[in-house]
Amino acid sequence: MELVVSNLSKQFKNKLAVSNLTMALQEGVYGLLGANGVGKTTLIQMLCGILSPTAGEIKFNGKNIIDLGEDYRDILGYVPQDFGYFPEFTAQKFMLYIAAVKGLQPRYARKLTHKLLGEVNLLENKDKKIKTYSGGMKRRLGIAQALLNNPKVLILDEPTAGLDPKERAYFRGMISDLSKDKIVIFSTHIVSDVEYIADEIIFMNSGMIELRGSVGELTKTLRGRVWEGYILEKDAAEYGGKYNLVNSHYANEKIYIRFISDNIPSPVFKSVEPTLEDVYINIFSSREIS
Amino acid sequence: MKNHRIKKKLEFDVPPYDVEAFEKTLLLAKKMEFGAETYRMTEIQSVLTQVKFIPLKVWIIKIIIAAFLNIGILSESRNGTGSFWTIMSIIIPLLCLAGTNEICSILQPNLKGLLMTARYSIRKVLLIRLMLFGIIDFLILAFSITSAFLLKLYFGGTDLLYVIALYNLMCGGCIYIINHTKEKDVIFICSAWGGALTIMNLVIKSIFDEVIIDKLNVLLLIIILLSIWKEASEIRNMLGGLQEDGISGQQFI
Repeated sequence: MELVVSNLSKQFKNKLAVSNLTMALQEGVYGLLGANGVGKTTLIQMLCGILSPTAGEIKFNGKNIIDLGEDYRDILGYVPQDFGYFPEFTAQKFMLYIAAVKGLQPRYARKLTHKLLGEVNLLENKDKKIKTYSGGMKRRLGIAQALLNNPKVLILDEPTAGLDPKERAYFRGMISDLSKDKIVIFSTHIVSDVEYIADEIIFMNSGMIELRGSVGELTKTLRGRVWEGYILEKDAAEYGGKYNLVNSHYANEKIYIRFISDNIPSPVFKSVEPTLEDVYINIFSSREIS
Repeated sequence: MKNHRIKKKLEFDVPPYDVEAFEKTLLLAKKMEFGAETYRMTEIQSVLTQVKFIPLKVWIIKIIIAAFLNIGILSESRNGTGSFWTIMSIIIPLLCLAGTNEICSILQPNLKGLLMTARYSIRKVLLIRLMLFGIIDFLILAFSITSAFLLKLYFGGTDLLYVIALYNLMCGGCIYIINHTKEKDVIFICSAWGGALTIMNLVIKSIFDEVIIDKLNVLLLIIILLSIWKEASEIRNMLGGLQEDGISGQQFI
């Protein structure tokens, strides 16, 4: 199973949201990371067939997804960034409605709805109106509806936005469990969301893929370039302007900083093991500094 | 001996290469690849399912409107107050308005994206709903007109043209409003449009009736043609708007 994106571009009037993007995805979890406005949602909407590309194409198992039409949508599950619903519908009714537009037999849909609502811990609340649900419950319902057709390609657009840490952890676990025999694309700008569950991380910047690889491969690129140490308060501005600061906080009347630099600026700093967050900061801050 | 046996074993007819059978196999393989067909709805089932998800209150409102219409016709046949136009002017916009919310609710942006990724495209769902409401409204109006005719209530060609013109004006206007305004304002603006149509009709009827009576049929015919044309172009815009969002309708529907 392979989803291949070739020379994909999307132009909105004066803005090139996605620019000549090429990638191939096989079974596994892919974390699509990038700041807000780098083109993640545009790419995702093209992968879902909601937006048509200005140039390029997307192929699933060698066939263009537009030519596949219904057949592609049959194997697609999509959790949008903002989850739309009929306010008067209960979770169960909404699931049955989505099952209907996905073309599932009502009897089969009822069984599946029961099973999926159970899996996302919403069975007890299945008869409550969606408008009364919390953000986390709505997200879980969003996942459940996407799984109705047992999708081979599952696309989640910032599914953890607005969730508390406990709900985010629950969500990560759920996606990890679901990933078997599927292509899962998980878009987010929160590094920790994908750090532990993604087989591969795709960093997007200005509509292009900036960097791609496993967490180990990506962090290796920064090995020996991430430093930690204490500085005096008066030096903080200098360090902030010179280096990619990952973190800083006051401690014992000094400032503890973590930053990225090719060379050690002072022997007071010690080299530390890079994390995915360092990679993220390095990509997005280096542009701002330059 | 052995050679003879081998020779005999090898003597079988190789069937001619059948292109059709090959294509059938490919089609079957494709079906197997793309999921459990036994769990799939038929096209008719998919239409009927849409009916199930239209809230009961919409049907109840339509039934109440139909009841009012027929009570009005019955009372008109008994009293003969000449208020047929008044009844129609009020009832037809209401009939159309009853389904408007169900059309614009599936077009809310966050739901639209979700529905666009489902097997039965949102265009199909919209068309089913539009046709469904159209058919139901037609049946209600046809029933009422027939009962008016059977009750020997004066019912000429002009009245029929009037009903058709008013219904199409209201529907075309509502679809235009859905296409051009924000979802939360749709019902309010559609209601205002319905109210304006009602008032306009009553004013035309009471003030200009005698002046334009000779040319009324021609005028109504022109209004019908224009409103149907506008209605069709707005439906095309509505479905085309989904295409602009991305999916090539011809390939995806």
